[in-house]
Amino acid sequence: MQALGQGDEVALRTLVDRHTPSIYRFSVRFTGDESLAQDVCQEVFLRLYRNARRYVAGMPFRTWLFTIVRNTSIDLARSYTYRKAYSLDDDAQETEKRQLLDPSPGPEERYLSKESTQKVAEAVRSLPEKQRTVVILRYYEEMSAREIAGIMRSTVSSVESLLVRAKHNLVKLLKV
Amino acid sequence: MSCRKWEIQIVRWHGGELDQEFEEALLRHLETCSRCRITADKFAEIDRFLLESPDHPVPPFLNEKIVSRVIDEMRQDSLKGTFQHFAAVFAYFRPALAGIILVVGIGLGVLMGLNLSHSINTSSSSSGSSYDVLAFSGIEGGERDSSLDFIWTDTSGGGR
Repeated sequence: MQALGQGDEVALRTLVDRHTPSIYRFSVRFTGDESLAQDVCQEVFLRLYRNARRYVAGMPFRTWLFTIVRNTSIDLARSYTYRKAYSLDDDAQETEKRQLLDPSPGPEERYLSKESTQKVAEAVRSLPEKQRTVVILRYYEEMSAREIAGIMRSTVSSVESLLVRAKHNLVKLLKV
Repeated sequence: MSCRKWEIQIVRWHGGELDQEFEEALLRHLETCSRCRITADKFAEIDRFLLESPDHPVPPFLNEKIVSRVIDEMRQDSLKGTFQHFAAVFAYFRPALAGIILVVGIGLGVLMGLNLSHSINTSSSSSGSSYDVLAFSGIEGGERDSSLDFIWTDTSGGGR
């Protein structure tokens, strides 16, 4: 991080290669928009560079990183809300095109898996912001309640009760 | 313990974060409480759904895009840094520069003042009011040390 703060390009490339997949994964699930998730990734690394000097050595990097990722996702999602209305049609067309080009599963199989996958993704996206963050970090980033509490500046017990509430909501949304 | 608190234990249990003592207590509770048993089953189903959800691959060239955008900002910062360096140097010498300007200003003022007082003294000794002499001494008296002599001097000898 010190090297990044001093403008070291090698340090930057190392960080980008190492952390972009998890940042992208989180922001796609959080915002539900792939292009917005790409913007989030870029903005996160800009913020990392700008705040590199504030990073205290020895502090858990992942916690710090995901605090930035979460805040950036919230900020950009808010500013993109109105733009989304104009680009919905384009997104749907693009997704369809991509699915047609994808050769792996059969059409019926693809339809079923796509439907259930979309349902789960939509259910997660419709959760309140804090519950969504907890679910994504817990299930897709495999973080402990303590790590999540660090990211959300909260306590372990409140993270656990958020997770319980999120699961109850998912039960209702997915009609389990 | 209320069922609400047992729900937290269920979440911990599914996450593999429950120690053996609590796990045994939870299992005993699940045997007797049908509500918690149903909740545990539903939560397990939700876990399965969430974990089966496919991963999102990173789009090609995203890493390059990120790197080039951050490098752009790094370059802008380094240019800004150079400008700030010069500004800092200038800021360091600013009092000295202000002092020099002040000394030069005072010097010029003193020179002009001396010249004027010299003109007034020499003219008042010859004739008229000091102001007339100050303005017209070069025209009427033809004396060389008028108030304007330090700016312009007629060396041609003709005209005035």
